[in-house]
Amino acid sequence: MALVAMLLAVPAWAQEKSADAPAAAASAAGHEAEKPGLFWMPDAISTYGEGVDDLFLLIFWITGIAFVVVEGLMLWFLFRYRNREGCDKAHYTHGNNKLEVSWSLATVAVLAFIAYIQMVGDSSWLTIKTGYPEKDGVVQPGTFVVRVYGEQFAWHFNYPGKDGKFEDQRHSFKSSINAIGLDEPAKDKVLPKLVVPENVNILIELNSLGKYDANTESYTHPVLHSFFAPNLRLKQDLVPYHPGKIWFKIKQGTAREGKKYEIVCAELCGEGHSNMHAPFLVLSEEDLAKELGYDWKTAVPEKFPEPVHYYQEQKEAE
Amino acid sequence: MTTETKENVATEDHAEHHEMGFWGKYVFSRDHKAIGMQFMMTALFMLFIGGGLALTLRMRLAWPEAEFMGIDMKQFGGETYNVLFSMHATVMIFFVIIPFLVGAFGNFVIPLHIGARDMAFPFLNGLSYWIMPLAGFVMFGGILLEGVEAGLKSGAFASGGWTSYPTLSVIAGYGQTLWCISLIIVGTSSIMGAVNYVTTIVKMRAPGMTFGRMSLTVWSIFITAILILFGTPVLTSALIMLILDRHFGTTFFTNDGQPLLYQHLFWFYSHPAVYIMILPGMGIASDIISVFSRKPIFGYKAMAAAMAGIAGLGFIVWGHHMFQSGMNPYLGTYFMIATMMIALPSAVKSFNWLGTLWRGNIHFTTPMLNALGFISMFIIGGLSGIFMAATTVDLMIHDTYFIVAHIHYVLFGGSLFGVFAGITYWFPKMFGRMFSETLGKIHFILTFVGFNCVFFPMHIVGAAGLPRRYAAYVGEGASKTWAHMQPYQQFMTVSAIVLGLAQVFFLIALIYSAIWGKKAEKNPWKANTLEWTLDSPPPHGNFHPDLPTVYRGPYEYNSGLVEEDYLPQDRLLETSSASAGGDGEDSSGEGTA
Repeated sequence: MALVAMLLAVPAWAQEKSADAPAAAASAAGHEAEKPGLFWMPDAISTYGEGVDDLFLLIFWITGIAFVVVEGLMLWFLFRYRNREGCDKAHYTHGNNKLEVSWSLATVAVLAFIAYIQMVGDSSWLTIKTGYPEKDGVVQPGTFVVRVYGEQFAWHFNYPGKDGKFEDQRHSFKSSINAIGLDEPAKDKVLPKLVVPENVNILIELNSLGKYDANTESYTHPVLHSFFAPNLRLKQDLVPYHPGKIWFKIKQGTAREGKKYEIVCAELCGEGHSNMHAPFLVLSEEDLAKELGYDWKTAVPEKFPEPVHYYQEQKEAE
Repeated sequence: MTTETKENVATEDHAEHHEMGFWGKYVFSRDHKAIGMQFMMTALFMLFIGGGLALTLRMRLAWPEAEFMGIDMKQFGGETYNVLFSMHATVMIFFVIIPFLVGAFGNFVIPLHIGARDMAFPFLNGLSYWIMPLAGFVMFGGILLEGVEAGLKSGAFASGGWTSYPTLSVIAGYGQTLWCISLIIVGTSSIMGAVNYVTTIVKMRAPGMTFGRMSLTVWSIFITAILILFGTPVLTSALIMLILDRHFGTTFFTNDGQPLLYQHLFWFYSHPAVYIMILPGMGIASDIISVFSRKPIFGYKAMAAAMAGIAGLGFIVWGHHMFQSGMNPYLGTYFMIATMMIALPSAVKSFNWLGTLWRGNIHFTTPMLNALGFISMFIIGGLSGIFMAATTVDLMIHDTYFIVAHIHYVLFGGSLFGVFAGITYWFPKMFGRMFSETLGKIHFILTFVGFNCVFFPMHIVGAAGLPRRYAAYVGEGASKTWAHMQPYQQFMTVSAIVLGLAQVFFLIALIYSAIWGKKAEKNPWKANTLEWTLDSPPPHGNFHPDLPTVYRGPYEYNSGLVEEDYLPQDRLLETSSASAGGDGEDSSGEGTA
């Protein structure tokens, strides 16, 4: 019964993201339900998010039907062919090759369909993972560019500043007022939250930073994190020493809703893993300019600087 | 609660043996049956360690800031939480499921099923068991060195998850090194066992026991042993590289090395390891379903071929664990297609189980119920696998509770129900007494319901994106996105307590049945395989004075050739030799060879 009650309460999703007590789920049910996400999923706000949900739904129906048919048949057989008085013979057969071949082919057809459908369209795997707004390694004009740094256990978001150029990053530059260690921190904007405009391509570079260890007076190896924005339907690990890239575009009209989203870490990164999250906001151009302190469109960086890793810094120092 | 159980690992391992009467006569035995039961008892003991860890972390997730009976749930957050789930998974995978399915049933069943007096290398066999407790001591060595509380503070226990990805595992405390060494020992034990199984099956089958007449249990363990032989050395190499990176200044996975290299090596073993943990269950369930449907297994050759197919394809799909790892996305497409392919043999097996039940004469004994539980839960686990195999859907559900639901449907719903089926099925041969049907059925129902109540809701919260390996989803410093799903957490935890109590009940039922159960006859299930022609329990050396001669496959139920509805593999029929081979239409060729 408890499970049923919970299932009924599920559409309460999406309204009360700031709820911080278990009881809030119950009270949230009273609020007006606007555009609940698919099933229990949070709203999809990226251009490819709904395509991802559609595929989820398609597989849900295919596997759901398979589940009902197979488990249903099994229950029926268990009932129909149960051992009874006066009926203790079983049908003697070792199988049927025609049947084997036909159900194998049917399964292959369904699996091939699922494999094919995810490789085509605007929400295909390669579109999401390789469709960067770049040409020959140069960022396309009109792209909003951010460098994201993950460290144990915080996110830092580095915006290029008025000059449209990212500052070089070094562990040795880090200080209490220069959290990620930028060469000239005043020239860039660094925020503990991700703010983006809607309806433009957004390109993000993912970097992982080491943590200062007071015992050895040096920085540890950076560790794996994973950039997970449930509302974007996007996840990508931050691989130490190997900066990665992601791109997405926010659907028009998202900024108007003014909701608070979250970036969380989805790859175990140590003690504070579950506390490693950051606010994620979609803003109108004016609000964004206010947050950043400049108009991002005036100058867009063409390239990300070559990373210099901590072990390289140490070698240089020697 | 956890503190106590963890300490017990080191001290009570042997006491357990005293109680069960194994110390002395059986402890350093080279008899495959005794070794099989040693594996079983050890795995059963570790099941409760792993279960205790699981319940502790479930309590923490449901009520992260509460206090129960003087135990403050806050202490199980942060690094302690990481230790809890890392140890839970490591214990369950390497010290429970693999020892149960491969160590216990492999040892106990293979010689009995193929008509051999023992394993090919009895000493190696004993050794493969005895280095397992050693591995356990190393894994939890921190308890011996520092005790639990101090050990938790100084990093004496591995906390990097059962995957232990670098670079986190490179900078972690010394428990990580202990974990690596322990798994190298476990891997060595696995290899010793696997060498034994393969040799025994290839060289020591009784006269007339062709490959085509082997039971599917033997087939499944044969294939599993081959998987172990190919996969384990790769894991061992990754672990050695990790130790070198940690202590000897190499940079395989750091600096100008490649962190993803470890993931590739790890999953090259650990994906096949998932099949190592499910294939023997499939074999056991196949045999049990045929026996209690009183009907030959449907599509014997397809069943064996499907297991071989799963094993072969199992080595080319590992990258589906790494879709979001930063691996080249084009490789992701390849691994997606390969993973879709591996769904086929699993589907074929499910259809064949259905075919076996069809027009059978189904007896709902405890082993049968557990085997049916295995099949129905494995189907759910298999179907949910298609979601995460789809690269774009995986963008959302990777590293969420959807994955946790999936692995538990396969490894608990699958493997552990297979274990319960196997224990209750061979219990008469192991202990000479019947497993109490009443207690067995109560245990099955409690476990089946409890299991689904714990793990089904994980699909729901997982689809919502709830990340795994989080110490809390509400309270101070926690992410806000999933706070409204806390009632699910509490429901799952309450169900988990029921599930845990059901296993305590199983232990009681097992001890009760071993002592006061009904005396078992030679062939209580009226089954065909060779162990049922022997006394319960069989004597040392099994077959006396001569080895049996095998005339047919193991699944001749209701063949119409004899009055009874079963026809043991070694019974010679006078009437006609060619057709009475009874191998069925598709294996008669092998029968005459």
